[in-house]
Amino acid sequence: MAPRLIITGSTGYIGARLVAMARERGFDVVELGRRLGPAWRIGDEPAASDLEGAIGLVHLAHSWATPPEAAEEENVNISGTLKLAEAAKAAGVPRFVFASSTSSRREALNVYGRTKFRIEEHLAACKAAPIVRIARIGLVYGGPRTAMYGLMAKLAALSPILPMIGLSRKVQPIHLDEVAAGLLALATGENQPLKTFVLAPEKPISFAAWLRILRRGQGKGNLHFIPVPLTAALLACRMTKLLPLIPTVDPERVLGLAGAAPMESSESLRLLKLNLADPAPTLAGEFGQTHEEPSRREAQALLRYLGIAPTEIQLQRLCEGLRREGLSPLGLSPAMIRHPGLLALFEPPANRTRHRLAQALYLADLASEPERASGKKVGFFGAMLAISSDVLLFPLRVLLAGRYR
Amino acid sequence: MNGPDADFIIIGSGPAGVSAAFPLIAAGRRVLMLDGGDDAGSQEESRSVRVLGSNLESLRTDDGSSPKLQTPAARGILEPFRRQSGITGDGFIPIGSLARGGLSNIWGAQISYLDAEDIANWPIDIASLQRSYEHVAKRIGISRNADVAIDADGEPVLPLGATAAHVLHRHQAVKPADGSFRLFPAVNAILSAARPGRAACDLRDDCLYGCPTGAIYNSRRDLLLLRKSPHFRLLDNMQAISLTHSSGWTVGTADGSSFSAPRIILAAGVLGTAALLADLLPFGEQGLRLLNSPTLAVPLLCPPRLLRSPTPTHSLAQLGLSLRYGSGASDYVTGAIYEVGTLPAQSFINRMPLGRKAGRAAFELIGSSLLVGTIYYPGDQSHSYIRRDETAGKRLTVRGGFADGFGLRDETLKKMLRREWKRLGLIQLPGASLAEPGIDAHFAGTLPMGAAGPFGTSSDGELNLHPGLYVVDGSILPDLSSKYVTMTIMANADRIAHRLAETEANSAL
Ligand SMILES: Cc1cc2nc3c(=O)[nH]c(=O)nc-3n(C[C@H](O)[C@H](O)[C@H](O)COP(=O)(O)OP(=O)(O)OC[C@H]3O[C@@H](n4cnc5c(N)ncnc54)[C@H](O)[C@@H]3O)c2cc1C
Repeated sequence: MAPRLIITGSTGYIGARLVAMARERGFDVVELGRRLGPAWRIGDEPAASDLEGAIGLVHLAHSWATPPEAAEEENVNISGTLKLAEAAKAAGVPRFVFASSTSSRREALNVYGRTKFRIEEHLAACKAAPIVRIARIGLVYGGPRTAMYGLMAKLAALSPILPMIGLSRKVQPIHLDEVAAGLLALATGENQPLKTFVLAPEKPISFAAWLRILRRGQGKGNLHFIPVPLTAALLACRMTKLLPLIPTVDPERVLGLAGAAPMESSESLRLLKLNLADPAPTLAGEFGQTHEEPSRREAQALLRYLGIAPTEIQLQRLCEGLRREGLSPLGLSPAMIRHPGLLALFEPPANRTRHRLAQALYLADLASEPERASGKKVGFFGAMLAISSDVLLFPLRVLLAGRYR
Repeated sequence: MNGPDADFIIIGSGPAGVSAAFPLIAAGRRVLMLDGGDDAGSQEESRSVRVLGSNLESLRTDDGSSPKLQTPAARGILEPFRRQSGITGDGFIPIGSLARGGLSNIWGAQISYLDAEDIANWPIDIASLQRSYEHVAKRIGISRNADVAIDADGEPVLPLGATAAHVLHRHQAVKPADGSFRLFPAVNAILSAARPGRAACDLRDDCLYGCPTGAIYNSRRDLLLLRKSPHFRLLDNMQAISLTHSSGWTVGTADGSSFSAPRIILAAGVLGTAALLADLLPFGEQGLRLLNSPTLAVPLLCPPRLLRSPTPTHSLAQLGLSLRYGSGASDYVTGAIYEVGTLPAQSFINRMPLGRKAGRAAFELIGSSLLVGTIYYPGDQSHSYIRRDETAGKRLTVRGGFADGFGLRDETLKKMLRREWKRLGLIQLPGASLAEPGIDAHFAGTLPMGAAGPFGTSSDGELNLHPGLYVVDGSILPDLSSKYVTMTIMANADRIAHRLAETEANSAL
């Protein structure tokens, strides 16, 4: 019979990946959640029959509905977790893994960090203590762009200039798959001596550097920041709720960030045999995959802009070239893709070899070169028109060229 | 110990190495040739691969060097040397190759001949060099670009591009003010008639991407001939890294093999040879003198040719020129004129302050009336030294620079050139540039023939203090005129090999 694993919060960002990974590795996974088979929500007394016989339980569920400063007995995250851990102990489950956070601190600025810390404290003192393993998880990225990760990815791609707080704060980004692997190891591994594990890379990076990686991964250019004081940022967060079209930012998240401080993780990574990947290439790969279609349409637009009716082979060459040079996707707007002529408004001079759009057009030119030797030329009037409009539009292009830098 | 592996070991399969091999083999000597590279891939690939590289290598940003050095073929030739030779540049771009055939895989095939005045300071006579020029010319195939059917010497000719032809006619019609400026159809090592294993030039005008027909001379083709001889053996991927002498010479290679012979012939190219001799030469404070040719590129517009289409021709040099700038024997520059319309458009568009679309339109509009002149100064106008970095073991650094007073001479020359362009009805466009030393790839003079001391060689290229160690590449040319150097390197290697074959034969008797 397949070993049984219980996972709460299994529909969330981490939970879904963990469930998939556990099933892939042959575990019989029981999901505890609101909309699932054994209907359960945090705070409920779990049925002993659901727990019995399991080799481990990973508790990821967290309720955001609790009023922030609720007293401990009223904070369902605290009482619910304790109740679950004690039930697991009573049902003979040998390991209870609690998903905490690297923001877990007594003095954390955000409620989330403080709550996690209090849960950790209570778990250490409760009857279930011998079976408890705490996993303090770093900044999770990768996979579906939801939750905090989705928000950061969106923000980073939004604009080349971002107002931002806490830029020099250190963060420890860890890939979703690595978190899932770590949690699985904790919930199923035989003898792990540590009680509290840190699932995060050893070397923290600055938050600014992290946002840049997220932006580059999405094939966009560099990112510049306008540092913002915390109070202004909190105000701005409230404003985001009022404005349409831009992602809403919960002040909680901003506070979490402002209060982050790196945690030592090397011992945990060694024990769990986790070898963390470099986020930049990993992300470029992930984003690259999902952007295959748009990047093809972009390639088409670039070639058409240069006056070439693209053939399949030219398109393929260009897509590959763009991907290899890290220029895919450029993020051309839908209007531009439909009417490539509009690129004339944004195109920088060809000798600006560091400009992304200039580079992409250079690749498009090269990709079409082999077949062009025999192709038809623009002719005198066409050429004069192209050159004079280029010169006339120059000031406008200087202004707009920044867009696809 | 085993017997020697051959009578001669030649290190390097570039123009110098193969030119030394032919006479030795003809005389029945056993020759083992070692080359650091291998067959740099077949050139019979599709145009797409030649333009873009099989790995899309050319989908990279322009690094500002000559179009020739950016083509995918060139990267495969230059990069292994860059990585493995241990030679870096300081104000100098060290160009060398570790590929079968050496730099002749990507050279421009421009040919010049030195005359008695050019070699006044050499310890050899012009007649012996001329004999060797003939041997080499016969072997590699040389043609002229002309708009007449057959040139005076009966050599086959290639059609001259229409813009170049226009300029040449103008030159003939409007006589120069004095005798200092000469303009003539370029002489190239390009076949205009097929011969076994090589087709004639098909005028496809994308020579920069490599010549799939073999019309442009490449010493790799000579290796096919050499390998037919039972006396010749070529080993690829054998980068020589050490030379030791006991009863004969032993060559150690990067993969740990060793080969011995009574005589070693170094033909690894001037930089490759210097790297190999790093342990045998007392480099000293200043380092080893290196001659190279300061190089100027000038864009020119020929207004009467505006809006005409380019005529089919090859895309190497169309015209040759020379211009005196002083009264000394070597005070002249040599150059070539290329038709831009036949060159890859990107290299030019990348330098325009226009968008790419407009840039291409502009290129199509004026490309056929655009010319680029490349002008080479003689080696005495350079001031370059190869230095050994004691802290980093065998590593060498080439420090590049120009001779004292070069700036002034350059100004005078540019003024004289402007006068000539005007006479030829050409407009000099902005964008003329003096290249970083080294880009010329014309290197010579590190171990001059006839010089005394540890850095000199005999008139036969035998390194002083190291009997049995011969050098045949550009290292031993005592001075470097502004003329194209490879034909002379080949002729000199041929001359030395004939001498070695003779003296060897005599001593064997
Ligand atoms: C872009 C370009 C254009 C040029 N155009 C012209 C032109 O138009 N006219 C002209 O006259 N010249 C031209 N040249 C210069 C010409 O290419 C060189 O002068 C010529 O190739 C020198 O021949 P070589 O045999 O001495 O050396 P190379 O051609 O450099 O050959 C050296 C050989 O030695 C081998 N080698 C090096 N080190 C080792 C080692 N340690 N062990 C084993 N093997 C080794 C290499 O693999 C190579 O095969 C041009 C050069 C370049 C780069």
